[in-house]
Amino acid sequence: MQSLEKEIEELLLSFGINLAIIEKWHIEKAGNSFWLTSKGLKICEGFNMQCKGLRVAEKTKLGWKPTSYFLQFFATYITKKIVEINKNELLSIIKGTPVEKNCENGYVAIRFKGHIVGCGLCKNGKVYSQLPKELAIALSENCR
Amino acid sequence: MEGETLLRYKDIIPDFDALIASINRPRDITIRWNPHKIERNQLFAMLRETFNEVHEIGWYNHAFKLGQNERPGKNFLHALGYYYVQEESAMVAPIVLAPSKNSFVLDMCAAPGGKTTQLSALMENSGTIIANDKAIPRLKSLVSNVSRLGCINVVVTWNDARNLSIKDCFDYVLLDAPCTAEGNLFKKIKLMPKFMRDSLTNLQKALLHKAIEIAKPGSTIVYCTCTFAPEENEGVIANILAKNLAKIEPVRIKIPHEKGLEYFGKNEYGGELKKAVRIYPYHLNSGGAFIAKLRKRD
Repeated sequence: MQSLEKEIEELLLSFGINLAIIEKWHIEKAGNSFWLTSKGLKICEGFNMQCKGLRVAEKTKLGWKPTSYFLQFFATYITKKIVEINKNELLSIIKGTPVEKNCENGYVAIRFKGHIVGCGLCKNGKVYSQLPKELAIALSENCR
Repeated sequence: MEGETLLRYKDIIPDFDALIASINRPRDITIRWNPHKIERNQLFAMLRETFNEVHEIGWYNHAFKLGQNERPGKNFLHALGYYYVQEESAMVAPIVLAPSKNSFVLDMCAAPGGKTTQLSALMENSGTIIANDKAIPRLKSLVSNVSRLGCINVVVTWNDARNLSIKDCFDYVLLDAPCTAEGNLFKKIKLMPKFMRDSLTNLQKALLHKAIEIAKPGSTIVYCTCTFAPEENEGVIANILAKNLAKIEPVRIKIPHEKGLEYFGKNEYGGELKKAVRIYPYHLNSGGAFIAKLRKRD
């Protein structure tokens, strides 16, 4: 098994993601983020790079925040820190109004209609949206 | 009517009446399954629950056709990256390129990412795709689509590909060239002015020349556009063949199409160009496309 940095291992395990699953891919740290790429990803000299692979998580004041697209990508492997919400709750958190949930403080995976839609933040029994703007807009327009 | 119209192609498009009829008709709505995020059968079931009409597409089991009133881009399943909304004709070029797993691929003009994400699916998220585009404003949609679909084998770059200084680097190169987009005309027959077409033709030749330069010897390069203009299609390929940089190979596809043109007006392109294909809107009730497959000489 590749040696992942302890902090990313902890993040994956906290969501119940089996580390063996990651073996077929590659995770690396760049700046304040971890990125998931295919194994042996190559880059040619001379190209101006915007990004590579999928951003897994970024460092925040509260610790490592998983990205919504990463949580979607690993949806089938996530078994912990899942918060179920209904349509009205989804629309509410997207609008900026948190909803009350019985959950531990920290980042969580938001599940709606059986699908992991992205990242939320639990704080003092309330869930806040951490969905990127473009995803939040798409979901709010289309979750009906 | 001033300027050129589709009538300039009356002698080269076998069923010109069908073409005119097709540009006045709504195109089929097609989507492409994203295997990185969901199983095909699961998606098919969800699509049937969500949309009134869902049909499988015989020649490509990654694609589905929906009813013409559907808006699949405005759907929850789309936001989750389970599919990509893409014209059927646009799905052909990546299949012709057919990159193998773990290969090194360049998508030279990649935004907004339809063909890039399809290449990623064909490669089962392995190897590397350099998804390049010159236009920085278009990178946003490219990055967004690559992220939404979970394409972890994609590196997004922003270069004017003409200025790249590398050589003999890639296993496969896709050049979906900037073009006059005549294949996407809807309810109009007026074409872009000739000076714009001439300018694009020069750009297309320069890009294809570079595509061949940076491909490995013996590797595959696919050139495609969504326009009818022979100057932007057969003319560009003939220019490269004349320089003996690559040879043209037959495009073998199981959908209705026409062969590439040997000549247009006074321009002779040669019999080899029959190995390229032209897809007209009436073939699939989709956009138009031109596709040529080249192999770089050793």
